[in-house]
Formats: sequence, C-alpha cells, structure tokens
Amino acid sequence: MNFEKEFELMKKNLMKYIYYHRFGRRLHINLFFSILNFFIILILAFFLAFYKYDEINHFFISFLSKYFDEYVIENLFINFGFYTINLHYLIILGRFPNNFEILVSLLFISILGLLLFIYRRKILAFFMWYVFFSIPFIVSVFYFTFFKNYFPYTVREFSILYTLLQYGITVFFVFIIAVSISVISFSFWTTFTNIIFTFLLIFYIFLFGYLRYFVFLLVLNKMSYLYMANLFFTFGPSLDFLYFTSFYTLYISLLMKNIMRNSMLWKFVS
Amino acid sequence: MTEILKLFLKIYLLILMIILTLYAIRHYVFSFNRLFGKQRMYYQDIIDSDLPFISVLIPMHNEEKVLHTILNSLINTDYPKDKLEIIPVNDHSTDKTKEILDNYASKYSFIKPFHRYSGDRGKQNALNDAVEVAKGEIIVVYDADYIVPKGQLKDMIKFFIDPEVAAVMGRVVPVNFESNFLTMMLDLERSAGYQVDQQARYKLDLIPQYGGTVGAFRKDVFINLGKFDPKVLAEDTELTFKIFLNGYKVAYANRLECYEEAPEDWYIRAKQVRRWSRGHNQVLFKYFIPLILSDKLRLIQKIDGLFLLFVYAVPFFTLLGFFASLILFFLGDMTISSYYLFLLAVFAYNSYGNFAPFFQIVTAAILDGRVYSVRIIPLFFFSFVFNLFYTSLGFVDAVIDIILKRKPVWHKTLRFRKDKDVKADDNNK
Repeated sequence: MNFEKEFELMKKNLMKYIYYHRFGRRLHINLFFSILNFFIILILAFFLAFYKYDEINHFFISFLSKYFDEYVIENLFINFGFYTINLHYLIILGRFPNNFEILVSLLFISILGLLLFIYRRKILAFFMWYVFFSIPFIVSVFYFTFFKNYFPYTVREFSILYTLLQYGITVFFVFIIAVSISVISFSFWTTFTNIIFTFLLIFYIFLFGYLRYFVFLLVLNKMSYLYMANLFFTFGPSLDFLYFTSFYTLYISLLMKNIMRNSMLWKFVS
Repeated sequence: MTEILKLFLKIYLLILMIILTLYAIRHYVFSFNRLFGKQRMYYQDIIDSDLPFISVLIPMHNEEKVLHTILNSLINTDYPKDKLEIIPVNDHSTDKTKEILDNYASKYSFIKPFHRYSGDRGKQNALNDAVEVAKGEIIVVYDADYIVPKGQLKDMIKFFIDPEVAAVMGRVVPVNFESNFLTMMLDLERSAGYQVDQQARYKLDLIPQYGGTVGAFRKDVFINLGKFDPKVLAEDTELTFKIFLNGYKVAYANRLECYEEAPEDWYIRAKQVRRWSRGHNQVLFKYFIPLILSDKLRLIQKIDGLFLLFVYAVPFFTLLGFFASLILFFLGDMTISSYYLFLLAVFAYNSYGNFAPFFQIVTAAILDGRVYSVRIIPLFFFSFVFNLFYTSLGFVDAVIDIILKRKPVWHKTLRFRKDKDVKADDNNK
C-alpha cells in the first residue's frame, strides 16, 4: 500500500470536515490565471484611457446637452506625449448666491448642526461627517459674504476640474481593480467573472459620473455657486470611493462562498 | 504673498501624496504576503516539560464587572499551578474590585492581588510597581476584560526558548462583535491589524508590535531597559521600540487568540482612539531619532519602524491636507501644477490611498472566512472622518505634552458587560 497516497487521500477527506486553522492558512495562488486576469484588465484600462474614453465622453456630453436650453460644448485636451485625448465639457450659466440665500442656507446648516450636536453622543460618527461636510460650506458662506467678486470659478472651470476628476477616477479605479481582483483568480470561471465585474463597474462609473455631472450643473444653474465647494469636496470623489468599495466587497463576499467551500484553494503555513 | 502660500500648499500636498502612496504600497505588500506568502512556523509544537515560573499581571481599575471572567479562565488554564502566579493589580479601584480579589486570593493560593492606592494611577505605573513583586522570569499581561483560552499560557511561553525574543504578542479578537455596527467594524479592524499587518511584519522580520495585552515579556530585559516610561500612555509601543533598539525581538503569535470586549459606544471609542494616538505619538517624538541612528536594526526594519511610528501622525497631516486643498480651491488653483499631478493627487487621496487599507481588511476577512461581514466594509467610510478627527486630537495632545512637559492621566475604557453576564460569571465560580 502506498501510505503517502493513502495519507493524502485521507487528508483531503478530512479537509471536508476539519479546516485549516485561520492563524496559518493562506491562499493557493494560480499564477497563470492571476497574470492573465491582471493583463486583460490592464489592457482594458489602457484601451479605455487612451482610445475609447473620448468617444464615450462625447456621447454622454452630447446626450446631457439636450437638457439645457443654453449651453456651449468646449474641448479639453490632455496631452500624454504619445497621445492626446480630446474631452468635451459643458458650459452653462451659473449663478451667484444673493444675501438672502446665504442667510437661509447658513441658518439651515446651523440648526441642523445644533440638533446633531445635542444628540452627538449617540451619532458621533455621523456628527463628525456633518462637521466635515459643513466646513467647506461655512468657508463658502464666509467667502460669498465678503469676497463674492473674487470667487475664482465659473461653470467652465468647474467643468474642467470635474472632467479631469472623472477621467482620473475611471482609469485609476480600473487599475486598482486589476491589482485587487486578479489575485483571487483561480480558474477560467473566476477570471471570466472578474472581467465581467470590471466591465459592469466601468459601466457604472460612466453612468454615475455623468448623471452626477448633470445634477451638479443643475445645482450651479438653478441654485448657486455657494454649493460648489461641497459638490467638489463632499459629493465628489468620496462618493465614487463609497460605491466602488461597496461593489468590490459585495463581489468579494460572493466569491468568498466559493473560496471557503473549496479546500483545494487553501494552503497551510508553508 | 498669495503665490508663496499657493506654492507652499502645493508642495505640502505633493509630499503628503508621496507619503500616502508609500503607506498604500505597504498595505498591499502586507496583504499579498499574508494571502500567498509562506507563513512562519511557530514554537507551539515544541514539547518542553521545563516550563519557567511565570507571573500573570492583570491591571485593574474598577473592574468588578469583568474580573470574574478573566480570573476564572486563568484558574482553568492548563499551565502548572506550581509554576504560576496570578497578580491582579488593583490600581486605585473604588468599586468592589478589592473585595472580590481578596475573596479569590483566599480560595486560590496562586492568586496574589497587588493593591496600590498610592502613586500615580495608570497602566504603565501599575505594571512598573507590580513587576517589582512578581517572581516569574516571564511576565504575562492581560487586560481585565479578556477571556484566556485554556492552553494559551503554555503556547505563549514556548516563544521564549528563542533567546533573542524579549516579548511575545498574541491576537486580540472582540468577543462582542455582534453587539452593534461599531463592534462589527472594530472586529474587522482588529482582524486586519493582527491577521494581516502583525503577521506579515513578523513573517517579513520587520517590527511586529507588542500590544500591551495578550502578551508577555522577559522580566530581566524589561527591568534592564528601564521599565515603562510613566509619561508615555502607549507603554506597549514604547516597549516594542525599546526591545528592538536594544537588539532583541518581538514575536507575534497569530495562533494565540484571546477574546476582549470592544467598545460599544462611539463616545468611548473616541476617547480610546484619542488616548492611543496621544501615547503612540509620544513614542514617535521619543524614538524617532534613536530609530534612525540605531545600529541594531536593518534598513528595512528602520523603514518599517518609521511607518509604524508615524501611523497615528499621518491622519493629522491628512486633515491638514484637506484644509490645504480647501484653501487652494478658494484660491482658484486646484490643478496643483499640471493635470498629471492633479490626477495623481486624486489617485492618492481618493483611490488607492484610501482603498489600500480596505483591501487589507478584505484580505483579513477572506483569511478569517467572514463571508458576510465583508459587506459592511464600505461603512468604514463613515468612521473615516471620526478616526481622522480623534487621532488628530491625540497628535495635538502629544505635542502639547512635549511643550508643557505635562504628565498625562490614564483614562480607562468603560466596560459594557451587562449585569446578567456578571451574575452568570458568579454562578460559574
């Protein structure tokens, strides 16, 4: 009898019931699929960043422009040396806040702050977010009360910043996904689902990004520049980060069910 | 003048961007190493009948709610009782801690309470005094809210077979992780800190940290190194650096899991974070130069040591970065100096800079098999500002400590054990 084989067989059977202790278990990396997965997503990111982003951008901008009566579409060139991409952005009319609007907004944020402060003990984490949110707003209120004429932005500058931000977020999130998801690529099937997930994520980034751009433009057009700092600091990239981690962890939790069931994916200590 | 301010802010943001990038790389290196790298073997399989005499120290300040659990778990430990003394250190308690401890002492000869009602209060002071009366070669330390597994002391002591090991650190696991959203988050945070960060640092022979509880150290080394500095709140971090700077090592034992009670209240957690940050930054100011000049550490250990020292200072500088970018926004100069740098800044602050710690938590959750708790990880986003703010306050406290040369006062973390739990413990006595 081959005791080694017998022992290995016994170990596999036992593994169905007795699992490696978590202190020393580690994953059995499949280098072939991980590298394949990484490069497929990376090529996708490269292709998207340099060859397709402008087309998608032009499509969305032209689509959004239909909802505004008066607008101008301008070009923003990003020169990478070997390639220049031409992005479009919208210019519409923005408005400056009047003193009444500033006062009402300040009152609203102060009353909300006071209420949250009273109950801060129970909702401390949320209260801290409120503080973080209110800082750009209060600076904005101060700025528009005393230095309104010096405000350095119009919708044009804001749109340039936003377009750049959105470009950065799209390309870099795909890169992060490539790094973070490729390592848990164990088979053809997981490689395939990883790539599908990446595609869906990119689709969402575009959809959300341009929907948000539309909302931001509406705020600057119908409400005022008073909210511009918050649009940038509170509802800007931090929101992207929130949905990005949500989708990523949801996907990982779905994958984990399979990882936990499959003992062949695990190793122990050495 | 405005141009100089703009230039200064931009340089500041660029430096911060580089620092955040380095931390992000570190998170990824640790995560990948833990996921796929060979793990270091432990000493627990060594059979050694010649166990040393050990003293288990449990600092206590008004711990009547929780002390039964830890004492009962230690009474049930399989460590030979003739080689064990348990010293609950009653540090200025005003509740029934003293009476309960004396009651235990009357029943078990190896439980020897040490009551201290003079001198400054605080964990570091209590341990410094208690070590003087402890007879063990090895000092084991547990906080009062811990539950010690039966075979843990034996496993922990075996690490000291290696003469270079001056301290051992085990893994802390919250026992009340299902209580609320905060405890669930703390559970994942601890998981990432121990399962990935500490384990990778130990495996890569960097600077694993002695954490002040679920740990042990050699008594003679501890006394030779001058015991704990009473002015430093993070006595554990201080001991870690003292040990490494004197040519010894700290071993991390991922297998030595011990169960603690995590804060269930944000307000209590805020105080805890602020105290940790204050203590850790005190250590930063004290050991920054000695670490760089040390001839006992390899370059890679010095680099890791610097990362570790600055870990509670970075949130303060990130908060300043937020204000710097806010000022630049209102000065109309957000693009830093070029579109590339602007994109890179966005990348650092909002993508990998923030995502890397999340990836580390996901890695820990995979290794721990926490299928469903992974889904709450995005909610860490909401504790981000909370941690940023209170850690920054701790940094400011530490700076003021240095300027005013003030002596910090230890504030104990409030316990959440319910009365019914205490009664259940009483029945099990």
